Amino acid sequence: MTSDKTNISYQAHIVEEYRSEESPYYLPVKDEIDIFHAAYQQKIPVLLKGPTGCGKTRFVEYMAHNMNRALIEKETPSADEGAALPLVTIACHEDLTSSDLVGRYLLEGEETVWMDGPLTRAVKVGAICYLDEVVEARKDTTVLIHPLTDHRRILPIEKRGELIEADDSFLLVVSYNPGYQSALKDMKQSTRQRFISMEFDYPPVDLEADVIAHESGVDDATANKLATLGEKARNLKEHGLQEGASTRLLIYAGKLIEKGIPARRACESAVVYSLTDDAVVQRSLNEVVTSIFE
Amino acid sequence: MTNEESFAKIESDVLNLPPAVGKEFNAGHEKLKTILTEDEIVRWAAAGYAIAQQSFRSWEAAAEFYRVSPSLLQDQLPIDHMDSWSSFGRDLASDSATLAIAYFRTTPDILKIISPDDIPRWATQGQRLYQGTWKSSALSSHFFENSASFLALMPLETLEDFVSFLEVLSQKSHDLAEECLSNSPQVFSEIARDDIPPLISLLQKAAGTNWKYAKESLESGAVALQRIDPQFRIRFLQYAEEMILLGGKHFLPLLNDGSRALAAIPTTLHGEILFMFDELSQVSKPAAVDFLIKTPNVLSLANMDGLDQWYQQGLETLNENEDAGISYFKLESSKGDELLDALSARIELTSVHSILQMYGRALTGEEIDIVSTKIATQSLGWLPLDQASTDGRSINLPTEVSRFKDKEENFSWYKVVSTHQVGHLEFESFAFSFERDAAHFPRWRDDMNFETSSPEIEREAQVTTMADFQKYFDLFPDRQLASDIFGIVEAARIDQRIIEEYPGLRTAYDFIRQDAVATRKSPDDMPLQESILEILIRMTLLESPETIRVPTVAKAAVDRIAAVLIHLRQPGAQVEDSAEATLRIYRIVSGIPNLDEPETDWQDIDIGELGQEGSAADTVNTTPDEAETADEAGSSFQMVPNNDENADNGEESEYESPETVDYRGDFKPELVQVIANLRETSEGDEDAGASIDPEALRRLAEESTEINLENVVDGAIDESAGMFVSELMSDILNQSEENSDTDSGRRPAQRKPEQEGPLEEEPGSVLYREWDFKANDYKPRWARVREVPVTEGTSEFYDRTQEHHAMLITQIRRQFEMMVPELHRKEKKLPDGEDIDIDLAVESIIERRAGSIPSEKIYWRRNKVQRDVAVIFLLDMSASTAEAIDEKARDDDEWKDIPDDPREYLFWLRARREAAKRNYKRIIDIERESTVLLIRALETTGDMYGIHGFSGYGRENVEFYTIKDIDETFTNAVPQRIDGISPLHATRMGPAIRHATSKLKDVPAKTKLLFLISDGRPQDRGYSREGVDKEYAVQDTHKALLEAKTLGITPFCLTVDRSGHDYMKEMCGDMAYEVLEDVASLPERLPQLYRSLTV
Ligand SMILES: Nc1ncnc2c1ncn2[C@@H]1O[C@H](COP(=O)(O)OP(=O)(O)OP(=O)(O)O)[C@@H](O)[C@H]1O
Ligand SMILES: [Mg+2]
Repeated sequence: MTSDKTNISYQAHIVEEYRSEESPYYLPVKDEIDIFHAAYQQKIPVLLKGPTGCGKTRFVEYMAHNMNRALIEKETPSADEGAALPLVTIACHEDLTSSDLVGRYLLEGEETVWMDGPLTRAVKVGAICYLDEVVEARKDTTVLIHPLTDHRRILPIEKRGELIEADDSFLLVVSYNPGYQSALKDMKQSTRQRFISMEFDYPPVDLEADVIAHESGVDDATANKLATLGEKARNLKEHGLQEGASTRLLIYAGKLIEKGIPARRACESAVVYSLTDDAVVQRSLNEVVTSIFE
Repeated sequence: MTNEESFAKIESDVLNLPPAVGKEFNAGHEKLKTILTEDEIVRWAAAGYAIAQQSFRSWEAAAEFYRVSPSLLQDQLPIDHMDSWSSFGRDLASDSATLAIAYFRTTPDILKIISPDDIPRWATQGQRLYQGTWKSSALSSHFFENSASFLALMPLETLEDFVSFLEVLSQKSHDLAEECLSNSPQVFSEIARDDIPPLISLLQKAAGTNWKYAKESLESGAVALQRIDPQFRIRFLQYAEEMILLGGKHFLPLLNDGSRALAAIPTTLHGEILFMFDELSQVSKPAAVDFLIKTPNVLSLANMDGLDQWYQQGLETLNENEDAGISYFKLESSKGDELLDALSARIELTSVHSILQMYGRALTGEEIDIVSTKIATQSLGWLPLDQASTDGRSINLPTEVSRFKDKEENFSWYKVVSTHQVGHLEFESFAFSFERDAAHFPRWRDDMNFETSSPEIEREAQVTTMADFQKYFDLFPDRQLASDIFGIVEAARIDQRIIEEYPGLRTAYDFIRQDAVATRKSPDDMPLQESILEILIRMTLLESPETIRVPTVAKAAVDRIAAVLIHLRQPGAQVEDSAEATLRIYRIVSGIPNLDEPETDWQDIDIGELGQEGSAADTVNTTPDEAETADEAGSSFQMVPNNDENADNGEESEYESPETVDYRGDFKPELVQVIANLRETSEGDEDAGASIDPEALRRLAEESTEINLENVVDGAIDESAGMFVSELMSDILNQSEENSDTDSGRRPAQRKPEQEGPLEEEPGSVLYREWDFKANDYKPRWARVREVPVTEGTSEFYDRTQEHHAMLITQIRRQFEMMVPELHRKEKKLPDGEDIDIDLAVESIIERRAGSIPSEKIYWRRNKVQRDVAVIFLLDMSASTAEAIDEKARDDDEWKDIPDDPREYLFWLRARREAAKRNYKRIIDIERESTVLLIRALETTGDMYGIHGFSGYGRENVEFYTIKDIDETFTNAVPQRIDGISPLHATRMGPAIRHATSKLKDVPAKTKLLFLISDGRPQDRGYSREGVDKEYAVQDTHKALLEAKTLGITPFCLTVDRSGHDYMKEMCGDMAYEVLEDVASLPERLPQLYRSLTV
């Protein structure tokens, strides 16, 4: 976003935008793929709820890849038809302004050039736009997406006096981690009720073991133990732990094990210490680890 | 002679004395002329002269007299006291002029402290020290010189004691007395006033007996005192006094090292330790001193209970042999060392309780509690003492483990033991269903035909069973044997499953199993049938290559048993598999006579070889009938050597159950299942008592082998059964009572009869509607909320809590203070401000160039975002908050009436320690503490806050208490009202929430919070009692919270009810809530939560 020709530095934002070559790995847990398909076809924005590291982002990546334009017309999806949908991911935070989303003018030499923001680009090219942790965004930012998420499907660009109609294949997806939200940061009903909601949770042990094995490369037995550890640790949610162990952490543990770190130690670093600072809870979790791993 | 003449006479005499006297005389006269009468002046002049006449140098004393007296007489010394004062000086001067000088010189200072009447008493002390020698006159005059500082520190009586000490000592050694005297003002000034008399008493004793230690007594004694808890200083010095009789060998170590030891341990323990010391010193004083000196070492290894054990054993040793006892307490005996090793490796449940509990919860995902067997057996008479067990909900563990010399090994033991008990829950021992098939065994249950030996067992077909286990055990003629076998087999299955699921435990398991086997009696010492059970146990504990001693005569039987066990060892075995395995093993074992001395040889066979033969494996997959046929074909048990009826091996003894495997603890499947079933019915049904059939329970009590009625009442089984039944029933009923009804708190006498329909308006109360989920509509004017003043108490609780939690308060305050800067957020896009926002400015310039209308708002300002929060805290004050929480309460007030007699004291102390373990804090106390902390925190934020409590009885009497109103400023009344918070009646949440909402809704604040703190479900008469009404209460509460929310108030529910998950979700919907695991963490958690909700 920063242009070399000008000396103006813009705030850098974490914006990922890509069209993946290879299909990302995603293991369906329930009927989430069907629901997403249906929503996509009906152009209904989607809200993904779920604890951290349970595969929301991965799911969107997977869906973007495996859903192509053909889908919009066709009833039955087929995986290798047409190009994957581009995916624009925006991590929301307090300072995210509407310009950051919509776009702004830039200087190029003596010229000024309008530069589309990620949201505008997604709207134009018909991408899936994924607003991660949407509650973190300022309320005025969330209002911006209102006209995009109802039947109008338009994005007003105030500064240029334009209204952009979304491409047919555009879809807005937001994520939301229901945990302890500050009272000041709850999502407004008017925003919330523009989406269908999909609840995500950590997969059951056997599926999660597959995910761990695939992502970290550990053997099935180890993956199974890691998944068991995840299940046991989640039993302590709200009984000492604020959050259960995420699939992500379990994968990290697996990755450490793959690099030759002893399993108990790997779990300690990747799971136990990451989950809590409370000495007693740490000790209890460690006892679970040492029961599961030799 | 006239006064004038007399005066002139004396004057000329005085002037004949050395000139210094005359000088003072004249100056004095000059001063006194105006104050005294002529007559008095003459007396004054004469007194001085008389002093000068006493001895060769007594004129010096006279000069001193003339020097100090005028100003004394001017204001300190009434003239009528002058004579006695001066004549005392005159006497002293006749002994020694030095003494008299010191006496006169000190008087002005002394009179600042004592009254003139006491001058003689004081002066006598100095006189006592004078023994006619020059050394003694130095001592005496030093006394006078120092006496003002003494009297500033102690009353005259005490000083008298001190002087008698000096007097006695000076007769032995002047130098020592002199030294003590000169050190003492410094020493005394450093210790507490109250400690001076006992120290002096010690000195007196020292001087009388072992005078050489006088100086040490003074110096070390003073140092020692400061090291000891003030309450016990006198006692300590008394011990020292007794010790001094024995000479310095023990006395000095006591004074120095003993007190140093006390300094190294918490003062709260001083009393107890000194009394142990006292008990020991009755037996041996040297041993007592060594004991005291070593206490810090022992306490660094063990806690007070451990110290007590060490002490008890030492006392025993001492009683047997003094020398042995002494070296024991010197820590120089192997016996003592061993005990200490064990003590230091010992682990107490209290120290690992939370870890194990959380561990168990993680494993099972259930809200299990870990309870010490000591407490569990108190409440349930039928639990074994000191053996791990479970009642299906909680896990009982021994209070401590000191089996191994290594702390980690002891912890491992705890871990394995709890994993095993948890295993019963995780792998569902109690889920046994008579109907469900086993995973690996074909079903024998239905067509099992044991030959019943005793006819009484045949019972009518229609007897009701209270649990599937009961039905199952009814199959067996010998219930005891069946239950023993099942216990072993099921434990083996659990172990197997645990090791499958938790391979990390393998090492610990192996170690503990080895240890378990090592402490067991060998099978070849047992009657035959019992030996087979022992072999069965060992087969479940050991693995190849380990050998088992097997009687040759029963080798075939053992093989068949082993085959069954091997079959059971397949992955995924369920409790029904254990049941089937038990049927098969029972068939084999019951055929073996319990011969006292079976004629057989014993062979050591490797475990791996057992159960491998083909014929044995058949046992598993045949039908009972086929097995029967196979038995007849010869594979059943036979006394191999001879079949002679008259063989000697005919003596049989009655079967006795095997010793339990300690790490597996106690297992009562039948009882647990019955209790679980009863709980279920009683919780589902309001009228629980009726649905329990006492007859069925009685049968259970009489027949189940899991209940040992002999322990309940000696003699009549009948009576015992009755007792058991009533105990069990009340136990279960009480529990469900607690869970479903708190309406039993004190109620006002004149209670109005329950009305029907909407209520009438009454002054001083507000009516609220309630939500009827069945009708899907509101019931108008359904609940009456009345604001009731809280009884104000004192602010003591408030102050004490602040002291108690001083650290926490500081910490919380710091966190809250940090919130304030957080609020200085940078606000952007302002038309004017602190500075230009570069990003915005650039954007604006570019936009201008691009030809669009740029925004003018390019400034930012660090804006004090007005924190604008209003909050109401709503505390549940229902009767159930009177419930105790598991936390030892230490109340220092109890220290007030300590018995004086050492023995009584020790007794008292032990009792107190025990009591402390049972003396719990109540939930309400925690709520009150939290309120205090919260107030401290809130006061730093400047948020508007109100704190209210609620309770009531019935819909027409919902009481709403105000601890602090939202628009009230904090005054002293608030702490006093906190004192008045106490458990009252029921919990009708909906109306209370509505009332709080109505207070909050008009408060002009941007953010409004309603914070509900409860300890359980909403409950009230006609709100929650009748089955479906439980739902009513939850739904109405939910509705009330929603109403608040629509009014822009954010509700948050916090419950300390650990089983809150089931209804909180429903009650709060997608509004935030938290279930607090540990009640005791409320004071800390509450402010934290509040903070995270408002930033
Ligand atoms: N069902 C699944 N299939 C494949 N991978 C999964 C699945 N669930 C979780 N993962 C793995 O878990 C990791 C974390 O998931 P992801 O990053 O999507 O979490 P998230 O829900 O977006 O978390 P956050 O809320 O913290 O952003 C992924 O990298 C992926 O490897
Ligand atoms: Mg993500």
